Amino acid sequence: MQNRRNKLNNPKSFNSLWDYIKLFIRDNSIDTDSISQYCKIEATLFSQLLDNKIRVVDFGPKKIAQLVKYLNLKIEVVRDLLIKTIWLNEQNITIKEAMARYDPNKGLDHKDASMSSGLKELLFKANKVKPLEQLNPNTEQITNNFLIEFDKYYRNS
Amino acid sequence: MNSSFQKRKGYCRKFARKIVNDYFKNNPPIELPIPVEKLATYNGFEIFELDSLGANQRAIFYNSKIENRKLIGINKDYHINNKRFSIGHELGHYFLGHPPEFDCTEDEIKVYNQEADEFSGELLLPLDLLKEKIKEIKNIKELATIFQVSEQALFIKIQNQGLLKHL
Repeated sequence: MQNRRNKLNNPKSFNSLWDYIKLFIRDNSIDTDSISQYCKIEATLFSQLLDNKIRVVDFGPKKIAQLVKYLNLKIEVVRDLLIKTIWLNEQNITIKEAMARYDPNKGLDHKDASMSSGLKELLFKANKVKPLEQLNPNTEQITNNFLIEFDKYYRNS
Repeated sequence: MNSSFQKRKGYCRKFARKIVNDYFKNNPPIELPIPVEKLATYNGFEIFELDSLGANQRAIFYNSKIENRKLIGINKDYHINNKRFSIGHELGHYFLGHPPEFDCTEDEIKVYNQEADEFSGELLLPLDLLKEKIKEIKNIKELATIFQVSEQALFIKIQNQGLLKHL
């Protein structure tokens, strides 16, 4: 439980808003049915969201604004995670071209998941320094448009 | 241990020495600890500290051939000595021409990781410089601080290079 709390206190360690929300819900023992009901999201759709199976832009800024208001999440955290989530939704990242170094004393559990998560963050940070040409060049525009709409709904909801 | 593996280890060390010598030739004077981040940057690598690597994962290397960008991600939760060693290790994978992990068998991965460790060990503890320092300083802890490596890594190096008698 303390690990969970430490992770939530470091939102930068998440690559997706949904991963953060998933842990937040668990940590606060929030009933997902009540979320679905209040935000008018079908239960199946909500679970797909939490599994990162739906693009943020497809879900829409209005529903996200409702959801984060309901959960009372910090807006700065949400905005940072939205930027990251949208960026990663738009890229086709594969761990097949990466190498990793492990600590043999700590086992090899979740090796691929950890590598994938690390690679996403690595590319996200590298792209900030100098845009990676292999990635979708329209992402910034898509993100900006989404955030403008999100802010509007967040203020008014 | 078979002789071909010993030869290969020798090759890894030799390559690491070449990288260090080349760096100091163009960026004098020689300094300790070996400035591994500067050395990586000099060779075109970009290094980032990462928050999202699992606790068992020390570092990650991604070589974007399309754009010629070599990216190293380091787990920010590890000790500085370990981070330095990991950078050297990832440089080793690159310079020794190792293929991505997904193209390798488990046995190959093990061998490549041993080679990258050998490379990193020499990069951070170049034999000539170590021999020189060990003449003046006999204390492992002090030597480890000078080279900014773990005492364990230093001890392994000293042992493997037959330098124990100098301590």
